[in-house]
Amino acid sequence: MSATSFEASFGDYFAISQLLSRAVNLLDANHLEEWVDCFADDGRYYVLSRENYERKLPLKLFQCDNKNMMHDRVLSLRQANVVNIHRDQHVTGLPQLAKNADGTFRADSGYALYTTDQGGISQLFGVGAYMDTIRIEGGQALFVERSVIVDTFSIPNMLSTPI
Amino acid sequence: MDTQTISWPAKDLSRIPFAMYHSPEAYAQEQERIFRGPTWNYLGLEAELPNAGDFITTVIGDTPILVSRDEQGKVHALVNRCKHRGAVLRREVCGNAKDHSCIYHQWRYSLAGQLESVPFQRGMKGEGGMPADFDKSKIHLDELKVEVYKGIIFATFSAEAEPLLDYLDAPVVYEIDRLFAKKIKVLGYQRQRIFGNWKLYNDNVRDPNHGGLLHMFHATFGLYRLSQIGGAKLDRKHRHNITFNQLGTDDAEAKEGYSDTKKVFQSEYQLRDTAMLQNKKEFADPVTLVILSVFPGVVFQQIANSLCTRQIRTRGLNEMELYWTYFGYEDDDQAMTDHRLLQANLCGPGGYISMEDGEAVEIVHKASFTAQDKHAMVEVGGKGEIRDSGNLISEMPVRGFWSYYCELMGIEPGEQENAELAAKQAAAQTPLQKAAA
Repeated sequence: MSATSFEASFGDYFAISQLLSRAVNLLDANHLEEWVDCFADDGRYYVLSRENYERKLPLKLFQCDNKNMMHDRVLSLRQANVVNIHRDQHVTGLPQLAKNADGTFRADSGYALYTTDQGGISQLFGVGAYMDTIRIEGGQALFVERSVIVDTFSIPNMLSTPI
Repeated sequence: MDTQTISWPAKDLSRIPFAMYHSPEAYAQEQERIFRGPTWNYLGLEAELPNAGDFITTVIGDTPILVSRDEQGKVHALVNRCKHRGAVLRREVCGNAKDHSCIYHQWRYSLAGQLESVPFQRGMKGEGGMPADFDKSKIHLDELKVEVYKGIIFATFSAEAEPLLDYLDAPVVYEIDRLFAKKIKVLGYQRQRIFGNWKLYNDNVRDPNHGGLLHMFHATFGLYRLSQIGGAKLDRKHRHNITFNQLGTDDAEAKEGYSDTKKVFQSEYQLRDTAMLQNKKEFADPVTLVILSVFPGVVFQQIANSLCTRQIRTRGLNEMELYWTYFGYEDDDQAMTDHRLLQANLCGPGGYISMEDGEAVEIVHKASFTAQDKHAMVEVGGKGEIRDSGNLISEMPVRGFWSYYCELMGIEPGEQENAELAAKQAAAQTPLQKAAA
C-alpha cells in the first residue's frame, strides 16, 4: 500500500478521523446500538486472529456479513449472553490512509484495548490493527468494512463486546 | 494443601474437594500420572501436516511436543526438547523442513527424531569436540507412541497404555467414525486463555445441565434446551463423555421447567438474520449437537454444522488455553464452507453459546480458592452408580471424569480415613459457621 500516493482533502481526513474515534468511543461508553450506526447499510464487521490472517485461513472470531448480524450480536449481548462485567478503553493510533479505485478509502490503524473490572483493576485485553474500508457521502464517513486483526489472539476469558 | 490431607468423603464422587483445583502437588502429579501416564492425548489432525517434512508443535499437559511427518509419511510424536542442553528444538507453530536443528548449538535431528550431526564433533587439530565414546546413533529425541485413527493423531508416553481403540471404547469410536467419516480440511484456529485450573473445563464439558442454563443464546433460540431429546453416553470406564441432543424435540413441559428463570421464551427477542441458526442436514441421524470429551484433554464438537476439536492445554495450576481447530470436509462446496464459517460465530472465545464457559471456570476457580477444605456438590442426575443419562438434566459425567482421575492418581475416594478427615474439617468450622449450621 502506498499511503503517500494521494492527498486527502482536509474534509475527508477530518470525516475519517471522526468516524474512527466515534466507533471506539461508542464501544467504550457501552453504546453498542449506536456503534452499529457507524456502518454503511452494506457494511460488514469482522474480528479475526493474526494467526489465521497470516496463514490465509478463513475462520473469524466474529463474522458479521451485514448490519443485521451486528444488531443481532448486540441484542444477544444485551439479552442472552452472560458477559464478564467490565468496561472497555480503547487507545488507537493515527490512521494511515489510501484511496481505493472505487473512491472509498482504506484506513489502517493500531489499537490497544484495556478492560477494567468492577474493582477498578485494568488489564490489557489485547492489541491489534484495524483495516478499514470507509465511504464518505455528504461529508459523513461510514465503514463499508471494518476488519480487526487481533495480535493478542489467545483471547483472555472471552470476547464479548466488539473491538 | 498437601494431597495427603485432601478429603474425598463420597465414594461415588458426588463430592469433589475444591483443593484439587488449587494444589501444586496435585498439579505436578497430574503431569506425571495423567499426561505422561497411560492416557492417549490428542496432538492434532493429519490434515494439518499432509506432506513429508510437515510439522506442528503442540503440548501434552506442560510438555512440549513436536509432531513430525518423515520422508516415508510416518507421523512421529517427539518431545520438542534438544537432548543436548534441553532447548526448545522447533520454535515455530508449524512448517515444513528437511530436518530439525537446534538453534543453540546446531545439533541436527532427522524428521524421525534421530540425531544426525553435531558440529565439530571431532574438534579441530585433535583438540575439543565430543569425547571418543560419543555415539550419535544412540541419541534420539524422546519419542512417544503414536496411533492415528480417522486422521486424528493421538500419542501416549506410556508403554502401559491400552491400544487406542480400547482406550476410546465403542461409544466414542462410533462418534469419531461419524464426525470423521470423510476427509477433513482445516478452516482455522481460535485460542482462549482461561484463568482457572484445567480440570474445571473438563467438568464443564461433562455437565450437559449447564448448556441450557448458562448459555442462554442457545436456549432462547431453540438450538438446545434441557427439555429436548438428548443425553449423555459414557465409555465403560466413564472417563469420556458424549453429550448429544436433537433440534426441535421439546414440548410444553419445557416452559414449566424454565418457569423460575427469566431468560427463556422471550418471544420479543428475534434475530434479524437467522442464516447462522440453520442446520443443513449432513448426518444420517437427527443429532444436531455432539460434545464428545475424551480424557484427559480434548473435545470433539458438532454444533449443527460447526465442527471442531478443542484441545485443553495446561498453563500451570491457575491457567489453561483452549485451542480450537475448526474443520469442514474436503468435498464441501463453497456454500457449505461459508455456512460452517458463519456458524463458527456460535463457538469459540466469542461464540454466542460458548463465550460464558471461560467466565464459569474463572468464577469457580476464584471462589473455591478460599474453600479448599470444602467440596463441590455433584448430584444432578443422581448419586451412586455412574451411568448413561437419558436426558440433559445431569452432571453425572463429571463424576465419571473424577473416577478415572482418582484411579490414575492413586486416590481412593470414600475411604474411612477420608471420612474421618472430613469430620475433622467439619469440626474445625468457625464459631460463626457453627452458629449458622
